[in-house]
Amino acid sequence: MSGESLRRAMTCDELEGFLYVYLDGEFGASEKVEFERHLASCSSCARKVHVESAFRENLRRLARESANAPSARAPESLRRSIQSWVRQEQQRAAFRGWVRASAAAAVIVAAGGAYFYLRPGSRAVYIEAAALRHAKSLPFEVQRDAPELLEAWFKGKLEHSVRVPTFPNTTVAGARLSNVKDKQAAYIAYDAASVNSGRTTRIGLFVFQDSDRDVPAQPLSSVELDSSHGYNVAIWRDREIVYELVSDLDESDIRQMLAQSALPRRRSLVNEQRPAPTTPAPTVQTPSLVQPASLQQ
Amino acid sequence: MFNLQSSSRRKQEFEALALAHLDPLYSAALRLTKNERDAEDLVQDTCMRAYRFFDKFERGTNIKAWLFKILTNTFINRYRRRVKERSVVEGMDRDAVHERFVSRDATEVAANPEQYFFDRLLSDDVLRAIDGLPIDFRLVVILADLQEFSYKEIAEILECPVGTVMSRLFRGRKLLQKTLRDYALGQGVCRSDESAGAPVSLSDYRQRQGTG
Repeated sequence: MSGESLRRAMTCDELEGFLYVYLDGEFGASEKVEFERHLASCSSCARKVHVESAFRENLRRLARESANAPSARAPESLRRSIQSWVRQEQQRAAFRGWVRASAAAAVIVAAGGAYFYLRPGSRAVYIEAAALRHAKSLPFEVQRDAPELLEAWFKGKLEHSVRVPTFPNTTVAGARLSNVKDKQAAYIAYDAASVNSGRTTRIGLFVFQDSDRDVPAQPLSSVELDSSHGYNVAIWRDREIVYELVSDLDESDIRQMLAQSALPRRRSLVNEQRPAPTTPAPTVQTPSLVQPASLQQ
Repeated sequence: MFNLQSSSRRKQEFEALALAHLDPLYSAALRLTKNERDAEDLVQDTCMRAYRFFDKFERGTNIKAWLFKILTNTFINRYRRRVKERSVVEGMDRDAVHERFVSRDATEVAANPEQYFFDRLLSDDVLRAIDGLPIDFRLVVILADLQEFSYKEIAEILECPVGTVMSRLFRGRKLLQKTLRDYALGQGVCRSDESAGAPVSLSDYRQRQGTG
């Protein structure tokens, strides 16, 4: 209380100097009281404050107007070039990670990659084509959440029958006819809840027939991963049918997901050209990273 | 083991957080560089630096202020020398500006001169006047009046004391007013030795009042 009374009143000069501090709302509560006490008793300062306040408001109004003008917006070309730079940068970072990881796994890569190098380039073309097509996010032709219903929808639309696998923590979002390069393909989209970020990630699965074995790919048990345009692409083959799974997920997540995938119970063999499975069904499902058995026939 | 997911998450986070502020960054860059090509380069440089230093950004703090800090630093270090300080009235039709402030009805002006004056200002006048401010004042006016940052945020962006922000803003706005008034009077030239009024140091004042 005594501190309050000891204070001397704010002078006109001080008020002038603090004009903007006051108008910008940067004053403390007690300083504001001092300021306003002076204003109440000094018409010339009150007038000044009024003028400055009008100036400040007009300035900001005009500034907002100009900020909303199309010419003040960042050009679309600038936005795109930054986005594509970021994407490249992300790929470079991812690649550096791969290189480090690969060093440790060099032996495995050398063995597993032998087949790939017999037909260099060919698989990369199909990997890239799938990534680009997935990135386009074309509208679905059918939206069903049950794999069986999607399989029924594809029936008769493609040369081959389509089996729609399910993956843990994902839901089927929809499907459409698509293609990977020259191959007519079924495209099935899934939404996966990402464990770490809480965001959902769109996963795309391409299923196409490759009777001539144009696309080098291993069975699911030795599924291979590659990356293209910022996506990770898993590629595997089930006899004549090639699967390409495109997503943002990292390699270990994809492998885990594939290991825990399941195919819907086979209900009929209509459209099924190949004979009934002769390979023995896996006895125990082992959620191993290298031996996912559940997708095997 | 693989940092693919972390780099992908970083990219998504960056796009969601930083690219949302591309328009304000660009409009501030336009005021700093005064031309579209340099403004685009400056924003691109800023975003590239921001992405590379994105790990240093403290999550949960003000991303816009962080981006503007990078923008102003990049500008000061790399662009400032390139930009030629042009005179305030360059490229504008002085008579046309003056015309807007001339009234046939003197009583209209007399009734409320300030209002009359402001009503005739266009956003282009303001931008041109801001462009004509010396860089130190221009920076604080852009940050305070165009981007509406608080004093504390501006002090962090420019890495200077809050008192410096206050005094530069005081002088910058006074200079701006003078320029705009000169437009209205058709004189069109502003000089930086504005003498009317002076900023008071808030910390000195608080010390005198024993509240600092």
